[in-house]
Amino acid sequence: MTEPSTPLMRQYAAIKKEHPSALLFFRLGDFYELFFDDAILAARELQITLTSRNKEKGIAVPMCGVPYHAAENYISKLIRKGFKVAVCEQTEDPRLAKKLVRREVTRVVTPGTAADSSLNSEENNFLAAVTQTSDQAGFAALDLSTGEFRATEFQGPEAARRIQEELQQLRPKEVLYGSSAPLFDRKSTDNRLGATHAETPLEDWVFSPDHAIPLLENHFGVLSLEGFGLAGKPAAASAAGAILYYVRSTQRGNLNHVDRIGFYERQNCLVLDAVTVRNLELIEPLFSGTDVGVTLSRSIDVTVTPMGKRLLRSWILRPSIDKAEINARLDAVEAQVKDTIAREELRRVLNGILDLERLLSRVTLETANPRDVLALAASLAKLPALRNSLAHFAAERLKTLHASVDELRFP
Amino acid sequence: MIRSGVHGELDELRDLSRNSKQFLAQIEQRERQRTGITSLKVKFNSVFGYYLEVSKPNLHLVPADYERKQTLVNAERFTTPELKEYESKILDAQEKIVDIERRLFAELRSAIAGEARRVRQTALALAEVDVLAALANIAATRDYCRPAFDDSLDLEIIGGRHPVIEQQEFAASSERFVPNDLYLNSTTQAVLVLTGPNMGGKSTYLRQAALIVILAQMGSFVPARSARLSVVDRVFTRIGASDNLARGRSTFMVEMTETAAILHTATPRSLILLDEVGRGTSTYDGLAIAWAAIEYIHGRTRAKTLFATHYFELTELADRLSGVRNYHVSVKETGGGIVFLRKVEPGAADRSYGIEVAKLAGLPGEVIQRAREVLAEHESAEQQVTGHLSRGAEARPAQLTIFTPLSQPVLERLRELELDRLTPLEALNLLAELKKQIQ
Repeated sequence: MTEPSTPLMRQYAAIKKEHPSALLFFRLGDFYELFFDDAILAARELQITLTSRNKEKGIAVPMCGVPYHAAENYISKLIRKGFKVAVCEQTEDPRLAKKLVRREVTRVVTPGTAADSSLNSEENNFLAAVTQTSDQAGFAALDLSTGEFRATEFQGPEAARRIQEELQQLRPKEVLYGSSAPLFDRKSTDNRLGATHAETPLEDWVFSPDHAIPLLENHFGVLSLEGFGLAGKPAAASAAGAILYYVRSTQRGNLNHVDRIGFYERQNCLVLDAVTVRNLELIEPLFSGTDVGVTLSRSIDVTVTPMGKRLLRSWILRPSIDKAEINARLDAVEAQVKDTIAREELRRVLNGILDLERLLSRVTLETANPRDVLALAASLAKLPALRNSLAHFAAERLKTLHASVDELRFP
Repeated sequence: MIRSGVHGELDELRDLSRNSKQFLAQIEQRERQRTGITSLKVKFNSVFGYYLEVSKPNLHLVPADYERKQTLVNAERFTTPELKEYESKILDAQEKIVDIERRLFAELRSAIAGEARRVRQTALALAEVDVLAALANIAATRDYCRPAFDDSLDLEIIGGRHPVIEQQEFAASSERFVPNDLYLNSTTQAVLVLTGPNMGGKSTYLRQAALIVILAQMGSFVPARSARLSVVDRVFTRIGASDNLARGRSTFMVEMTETAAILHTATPRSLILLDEVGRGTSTYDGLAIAWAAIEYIHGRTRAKTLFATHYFELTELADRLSGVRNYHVSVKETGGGIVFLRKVEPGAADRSYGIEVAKLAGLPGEVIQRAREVLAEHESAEQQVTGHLSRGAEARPAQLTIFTPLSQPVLERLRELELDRLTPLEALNLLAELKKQIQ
């Protein structure tokens, strides 16, 4: 890049310097513009026209742009392709600005932090973090679009392989790791299962327990992480803290919907390794191109809400090994098998409920538009009816769930 | 975007903005009467805002309080203090409307965000209600049964079906899915060696066992007449290898890596499905590895295992190891062809029916005929056992040859031979003759 000559381009260059790995969407009036290499790449990936801006010292600056009201679409296209996008807004009223309007990057959207409406509603969109010390490995994953947040850690020589298994099962869209700790020995990385994700190195201190643990405690408003099962799990907590740090520094909003984190262990569920998930065609057909109808998930998925679809998928991948839990679920299923009318009524009410989790996440990330809020309201309006139809069942689990459904009458 | 009745000032501003048309029409009417210019118009553009337009022939009628703004070819544009004041009111109102709406929306959003925990809690509960209702719906409409869990290490499935294939066949209204039983424990019936022709249903039977276990532990009813299960801690599979070839790693290496992982981590609570393990290498290596793997599972891990194979030799394991049992998928031979019955029954398959399957697949008649001849020659030549896999075991007749095949006539001669009656010369001659025979 040649030395920029106009104040505007100087402002651009300064902001771009802070986000070298992201495509910078630079707000100019009613458009977001991209310049230089960003423009060339975006024009190619988005199939939009590449033009050039006023000549900088005789050299034309490549430029392309998208109208601000259509930007979300273009951004999500780029994210799906694995790019990162930094959104730079005009942060003062142009009419009040004396000279150049102040501009700031208000959010950075990355494959692992996408929460827009174009996400596949049947799948989670995980952002993962991996941290490795000599004999410990920590792993955490957050789906920012739903608020699901969990962490685990492994000891000993098998630790690296276990982390591979987690990655293969959760299929995160983006993985964070300490820049001085290479993610894996690449030779041993087995990509046969076709998992692809963006990799984002962060500075090492982000992963230090001294930084990460207080950050988590602060976010969840607790004095200790014990309630989440994370006390005495420094590796897991560090990975989780790094995720929180990254999300905070890239997103707007208070992340209220990320309201809990769970420590988990693979051994707490029926373990299905990646090869088995594939061989049994639980989620995807063995031979790509085959009808997805051959998969177990498609065959038994008659859920009617996006939240239900995602939970069913997670139950398929992580069946329980707790006999009491299994029987509690079976009791609930049996109660509904026996009462067809009540079951049909329940499913009819559920059917109108939209993706509460994702609508909520857009609200707390301040990206929700009025249509999202109306959709949320319409779904919440169905909750009293849902509680009513749940009240028909005597099974213990359904009673508990009945109690957990809040009618959400806002004050 | 904000409904009226929510915010007083907003409503007023909107009234102002909405009534502007009517108000301007009033001004237009009044000014026409006052000036007598019937073509006088009140107009708006983004550069000058609101103005009064008077056409050239009427310019002499313009009153003194009109202030000239712009001159066009055949008209002039004017403004008045009243119009100016009104203009700033309207434009101001519109800007304020946008501001207030934006502010109210941000307030609403953050009020909702403040209740995020409650919304999320409800969403989580609702997701589970949805899944349980869906599982109930499947159970009720597809004739599933509730599995019973006990503290044994057994898996007993009566009349089990494959949840996906059953539905596909139902949808295609083709042949009815044939249910099968399964019984596994960790002592007398820990490893089932399943033989029978390809396409006979071996793989389906294996997968169906795993899928039933998975469904049950999700909390779902299962496609079976009854199921008595124990909690399984891991399900392992090694099924086929065909499509890994394309991904650039040797099939055999993939197969062995995966098999190694299974042998290392399985427990007595695990369920292992092995389908044609050893296929990725030469026959004898593959057979030897499969044999050793079964011995290891049987002796060390005691995991419940279903082993589908086309190696007939493996059926011999059932006679040697107490926990190994033979099962086969049944086939009915009809004149010149076979019909798959898809029923799993105790005992080893009597043969592999490879040629019959090839015929069903549409291989040319000539090839099928020739294959039968080759097979017949081969079988008669390999009737005798010459090698054994298990250490120190006695050779037994009627077992298939595993290593170096000796021709049967040579063996017959040797067996009948009375060494005491041979002179050294005769012995040497015989040796030469036998050698000639096997070359």
